[in-house]
Amino acid sequence: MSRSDPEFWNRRTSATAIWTNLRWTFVHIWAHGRAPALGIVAVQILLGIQPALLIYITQHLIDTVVASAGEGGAGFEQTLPWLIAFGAVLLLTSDVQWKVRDTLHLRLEQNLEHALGRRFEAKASRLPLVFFEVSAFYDRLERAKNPGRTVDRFFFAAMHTFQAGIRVISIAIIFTSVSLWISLTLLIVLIPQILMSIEQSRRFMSFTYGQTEAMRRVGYVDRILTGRGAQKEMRLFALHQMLSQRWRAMRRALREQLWRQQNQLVRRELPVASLRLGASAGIAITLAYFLGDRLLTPGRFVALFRGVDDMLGAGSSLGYHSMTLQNQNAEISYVREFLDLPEDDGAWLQQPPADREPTRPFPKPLREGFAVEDVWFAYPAASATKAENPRPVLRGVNLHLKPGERVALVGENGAGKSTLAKLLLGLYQPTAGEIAVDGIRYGEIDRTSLASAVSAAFQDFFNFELTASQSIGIGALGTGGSDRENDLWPAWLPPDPAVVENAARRAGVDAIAARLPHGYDTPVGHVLDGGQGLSGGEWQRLAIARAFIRQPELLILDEPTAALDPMAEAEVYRQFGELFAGRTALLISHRLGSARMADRILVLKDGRIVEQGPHDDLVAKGGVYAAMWEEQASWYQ
Amino acid sequence: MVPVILQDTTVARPPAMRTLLRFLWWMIQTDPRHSILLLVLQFATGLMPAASVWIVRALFDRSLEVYEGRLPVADMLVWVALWAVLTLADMGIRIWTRTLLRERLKQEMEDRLLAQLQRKASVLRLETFERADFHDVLRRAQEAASPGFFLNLIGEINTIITGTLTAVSVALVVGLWNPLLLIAIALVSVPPPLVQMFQGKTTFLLKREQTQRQRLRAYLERILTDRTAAKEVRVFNLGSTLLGWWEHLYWQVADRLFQQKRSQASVNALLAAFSLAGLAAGIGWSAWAVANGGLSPGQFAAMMVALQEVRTHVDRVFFRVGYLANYLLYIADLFTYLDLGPEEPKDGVRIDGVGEVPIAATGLSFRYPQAEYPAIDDISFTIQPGERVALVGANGSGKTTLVKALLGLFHPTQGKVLYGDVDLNRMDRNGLWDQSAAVFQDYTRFAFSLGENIGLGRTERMGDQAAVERAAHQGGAAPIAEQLPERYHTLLTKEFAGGTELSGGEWQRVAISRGFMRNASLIVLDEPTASLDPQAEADVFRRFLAMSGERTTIVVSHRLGSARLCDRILVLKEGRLLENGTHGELLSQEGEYARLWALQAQWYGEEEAKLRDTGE
Repeated sequence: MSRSDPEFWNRRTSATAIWTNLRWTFVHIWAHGRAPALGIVAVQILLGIQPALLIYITQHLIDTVVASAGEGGAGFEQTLPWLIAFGAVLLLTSDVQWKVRDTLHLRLEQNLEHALGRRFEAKASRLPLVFFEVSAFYDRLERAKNPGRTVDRFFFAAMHTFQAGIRVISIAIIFTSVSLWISLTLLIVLIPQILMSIEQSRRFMSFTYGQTEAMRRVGYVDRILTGRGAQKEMRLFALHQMLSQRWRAMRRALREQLWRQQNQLVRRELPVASLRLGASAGIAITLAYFLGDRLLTPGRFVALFRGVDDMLGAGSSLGYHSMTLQNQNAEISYVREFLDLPEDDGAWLQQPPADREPTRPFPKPLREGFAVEDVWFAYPAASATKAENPRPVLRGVNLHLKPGERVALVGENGAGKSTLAKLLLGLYQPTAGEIAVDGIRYGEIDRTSLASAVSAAFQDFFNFELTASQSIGIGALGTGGSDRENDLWPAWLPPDPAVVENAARRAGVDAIAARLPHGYDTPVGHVLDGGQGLSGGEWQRLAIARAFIRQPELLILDEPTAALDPMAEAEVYRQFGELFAGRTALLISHRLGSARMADRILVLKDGRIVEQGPHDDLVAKGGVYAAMWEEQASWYQ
Repeated sequence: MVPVILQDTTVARPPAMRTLLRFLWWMIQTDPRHSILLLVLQFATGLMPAASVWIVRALFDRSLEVYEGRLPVADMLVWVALWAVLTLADMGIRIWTRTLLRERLKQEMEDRLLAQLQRKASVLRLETFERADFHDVLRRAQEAASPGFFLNLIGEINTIITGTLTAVSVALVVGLWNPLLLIAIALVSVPPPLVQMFQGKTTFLLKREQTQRQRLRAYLERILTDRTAAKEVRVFNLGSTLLGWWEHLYWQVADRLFQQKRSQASVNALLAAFSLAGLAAGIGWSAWAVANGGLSPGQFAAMMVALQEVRTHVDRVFFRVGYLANYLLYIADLFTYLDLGPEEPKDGVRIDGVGEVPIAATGLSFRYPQAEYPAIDDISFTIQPGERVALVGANGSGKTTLVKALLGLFHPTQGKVLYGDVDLNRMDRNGLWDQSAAVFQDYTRFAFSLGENIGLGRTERMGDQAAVERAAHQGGAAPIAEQLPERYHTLLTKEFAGGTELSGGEWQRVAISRGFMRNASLIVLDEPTASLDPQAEADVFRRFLAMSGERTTIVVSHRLGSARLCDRILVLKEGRLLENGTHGELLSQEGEYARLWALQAQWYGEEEAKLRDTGE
């Protein structure tokens, strides 16, 4: 989450917001980490009263020591109980307790990470796909990441504020026993002190973490200069000098700004510090007069004299932690908002909610096929406040896919091909119009049933960096019977090896697997130990094999060969004919040569289907397709 | 300084002491005035606690007399005033050193360091970037150079200096009163180093490399929330399966971490108790001494302060030494990176008109560092001035590597490249690059404005709007500018405020326009059209051929349709040059090229069957 985001600073401050978030946090902590949390509270209380206790014990210790001077063993016996008390307080309240607290803290953090992380991931996997494709929505997910840690940090900020509060109050009580006025003076001096700490930590937050826009920009130029990505260009275009000059200039401007900030801070710090010193000196003088009037014992005098410092220290810490609490508050709000998002395409996506949970199964076998009727699609507007109306990507698409038909979808970049594919896969809901299969609207079909009836290889596929077998068989995990119990995966996890190998063979992955040291059990990518790196083309073949793992009613291949060389591409296409047998298939490509083998070709332009028919008809028609074909074929004639 | 050259063994880290000295020397060199001032002031703050102990004693002795009515209160106030002055001075020095000195010094050092890292990246030979171990060195160096890191190190050094001085000076003051008091000081000072000795082993246990299980768990979390994976998660219905898997790993990883932490914490708690016992023993001994007349009550009160100060500082010093050792490892990585070689040769023969001489490769081979086989192997050919040559071949056949070797970006492991009769190794590479324009497949998408992205092709003319627009027009980026809110001034990234992101095809036009900024006599295009649709691709090629005109041109492509437009075609396979000739010649040879051509043309040709027959 970015602190340069103005929203961050707006959300930070409201007291009611902090209170609601605190309540929410405590409810979750009570549910998931009661025991460690109570332990932590106990430790915080002990640490909070420590300074007051030490002041109290020190005064008696010194007084008994004074009384015992020159008394020998008998005198020492007088001081012994206070010595023991002193040792006991130290033992109960300092480093030792920190270690206990840290251990409890880890447990609490783990409990929260588990409970909230699970909710977070489950939520992320169930949200509609559109959520991921509109930046303004996806940002919400990014901001809510690591919810367990966020809640834990918030709790800790609250605990530290609580502890600092106890310290201030308990020391004030000690001073009250001497004079109420001294207590009041100290509390009043604390106010500028706390304000000062808040100011300091605010600046610290926004500057030190390099999260202001200007700092990120400087950091970016530095990354270009030192990173690997642009080194070719750096040499060929002789960019080093110009970019490093730019970096220097940006950096200088930033430094001057920082410098001014810091001077200001020092100028503000000095009067507060002097006030603090003045108050301490004043209190010391008052105490000295009390001493002269025998209202104080010398031991008490020394203990309180040092207690003034403790009090002021507790004040800074109160300021610092309450500031942290405010900062964490914004992050808690992000987590809460994300976890509370509705999972259907509800009102927040500006679409009418489904009246009831869809329950009908996907029809098998297919009789009539897929019907797309006057479908419009626009990405939802990023925010409701801005009256921007996103341009529709699809504008009234009509088409019918017969069972077993092979259809190619062609068109320029940005014509809406991938969007149409995602609608057919049930990943998007049409903004207007209907998609139905065998007369049943998509909206009425049970999601799991729909998901298991379709399969796809996407243009921007994800590389599953697991074992080769898991990566290909990700859509069939848990079908392989049981494996040995394993450190890394549960026994039920592996996919059916026969199914994986069959799909792999069809996509030409068997040759890749044969080269890997442990065949299909070899880890690919960098996540698992001993993982083998694959080239872009090899990953693409894995993605194609992944789509073949199922026996779907509808198979969509969305430009699956962009990273393959011509030989490999030709090979994959040769196999398509065999693979598509008896299955409804949609092939998206902008290489018309491969589209040609389809039963029917659909030409998409500006969100509408402008032409359709077999290749020869379209060429004869002399329209958009014919022009595209001429263009491409001319290269090979 | 002898450059460190990455070998196939891991780089050994230099000893910590040498790194520390080099760091200090480097700090003084960077900003001598502030460095020395800082060190002097550290001395001053280190002596403050000793003075404070002295004052507490005096104050307490007076307070006893005041309490017994033997001294007027006013006499005691002198010491209060002295204490206030001392505190004021201490406070002033602290604020001054922290903000005005340390911050400034930190910035100076950071600036200098980053500039050095940047320079290093620009002069290191490009093939070094291809090494796997180089990335570890670079990553660690960058971590060490990350903001605030230096502040920490200077802070560590300061804490150690101040702490040591405090402990020694307080011990001296106390020892002057009564040498026996040093026993109490010793009781307090002994536990911390012992504690650190034990702790040192346990603290770094947790900092080890992430285990495989931890990585896998984090990866599963990523799949479930990743933007790219979201489609697959839904189409393959992965949600509950992957959550089940994650669940399987969660407590395995968490419990192990917790057990480690718990056993470490219990050891540490014991050790902390031991250290506190030292403090209690010291105070107890002092109380005993008062009872037996060896110590005045005032000295006892001062001892309570003194012992706590000594314990805190000795503890801190030893604790920080542990940290310092850790920091020094990073700093050592940093210095290793700065010493890295080999660097690009600095000067050489400058050749004007690289497009007007033949370019020849003789027995050219290049093997990537740590690779088993050469990426290109024994390649020989000549490109005539003004000739347009296409490099074709399957993925991984060495096309891009060959181009990089021809441009002098990679140094051949065997054979050579000749421009006219000058060996590229003896040439001034900057001169060569200055006269050539190259657009690579993996061009950089700079998070700058559209105008700057194009203008970077020729930095001297970046500000020349007309030149930028002309290049945009030629490279096909002009229509993009028309659609953007601030035309050429639009920032091309979502990372910063007010920016817009372009699509892959649009970026490609920007990259090509960047190439058009140069009036080069040697032009290289490395598959610049991969993500364009056919219309756009045809458009780019037309523009491109118009630009190349009479200049020497090398095109890398695996679409033979476009390669055909070149004067000559070189066919690469598995790093070797297989065929070399015009489209017609190669077709009639009926070799690799003819086979590839048949494969691609069959999708477009009328006589599919015939072509397939000749192809196989």
